Amino acid sequence: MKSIKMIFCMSVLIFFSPLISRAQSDATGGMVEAINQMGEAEIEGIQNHTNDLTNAGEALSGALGSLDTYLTIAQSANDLYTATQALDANECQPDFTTSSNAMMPTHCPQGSDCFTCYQSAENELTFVRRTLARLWCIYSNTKNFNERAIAFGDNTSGVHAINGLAWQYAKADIVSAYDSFKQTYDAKYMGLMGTLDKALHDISNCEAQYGEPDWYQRFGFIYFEFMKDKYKRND
Amino acid sequence: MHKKIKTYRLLFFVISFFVTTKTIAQPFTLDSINVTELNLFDYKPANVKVNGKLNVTTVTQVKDTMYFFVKGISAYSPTYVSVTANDKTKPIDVRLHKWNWHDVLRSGTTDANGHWEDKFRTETDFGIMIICKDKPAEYVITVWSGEEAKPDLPTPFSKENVGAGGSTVTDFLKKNWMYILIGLLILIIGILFLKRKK
Repeated sequence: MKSIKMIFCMSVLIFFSPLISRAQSDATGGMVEAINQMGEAEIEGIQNHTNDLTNAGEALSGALGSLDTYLTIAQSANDLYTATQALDANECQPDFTTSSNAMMPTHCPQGSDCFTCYQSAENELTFVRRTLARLWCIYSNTKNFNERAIAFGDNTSGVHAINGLAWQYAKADIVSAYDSFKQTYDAKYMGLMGTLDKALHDISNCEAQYGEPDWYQRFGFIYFEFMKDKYKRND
Repeated sequence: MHKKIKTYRLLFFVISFFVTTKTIAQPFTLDSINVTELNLFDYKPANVKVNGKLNVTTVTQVKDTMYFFVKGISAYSPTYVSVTANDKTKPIDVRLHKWNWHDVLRSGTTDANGHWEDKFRTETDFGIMIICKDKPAEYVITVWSGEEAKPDLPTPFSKENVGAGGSTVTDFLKKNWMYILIGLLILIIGILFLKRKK
């Protein structure tokens, strides 16, 4: 009896399916879903004002007008950067603070004649500090993403359409991708630490010229150890 | 020349990490949803001081909800997102996500001009969920991500300079001899005063 009912229902569905889809189409005014992304050439056209936007529609010209207003006010990327907040208040923000114990004294304050010796090494030091801070944010965000994803999957897989076994496979993929990420992080961390050490030795060479022969051993090394510890993975 | 090559090598090394590392692809979900990646292209208009990358996407939405995501964002780049509706009388709900499609980080609705926008900074990627109560809806999504800012870093160098020979004790005495002298005088006066009282 059950199978007869099922066959009847399926026949009804097959017979009326064109009518059902037409009804759905009528409900959307006969429109179908469409996503049109502008390509590189079109973006270049907007940039160079070579695209004819007169027939582009009010929404597009309005959207581009609002973006133009936002961008023309800005004086620099730094202005926009400082004027914005993180998307998630809990997400990692680049942290450049140095512990007072690890601060390094110098013979040559910025702007002095001796600074030409330090310039290149200090630029490299700044670059490494910025890169390490970003690298740390990528690590923290990835860790956060994985932990949240696993917690979410563990909590909902029992009641979700995806069955427990399928979730276990998905979870294994997440864990494996994260393990691979950790290895990449460690390799890049080691590389950047090498560059940091080199920059500090270069500063030390300059310090030696201006009266402090053991600068790296006395101060640079402490800063290096501080940075090594600050950006070391903790899982 | 040698220094330049060294810097380029370092830059290549760093960039290669951000390009090749497998990190977050999009907000996490267990649902089988269709998520569209919005691709960013170089955008450097002459009248603007900040270069960046731009995506402009025109969408006709017939479902309740559509999902988009953007990747390749730097924590140092300011990011701008807007949604502009074709029909101002049909408000569109916009939600921004990062970790998963359940936790809404920011949200809003298109205003009387049919426009909604937000600015923020984030690392690597984020998701945009668009909900249309009144369908079909036609709208334009604009995503702009600026060039990396170079925020001023607090100096790792202490204000105190080391003197010749680097003796910090000598430096301390040199700088604070007057305070030390005053302290000693007060101490002597105090001792004399106590002795006299006795």
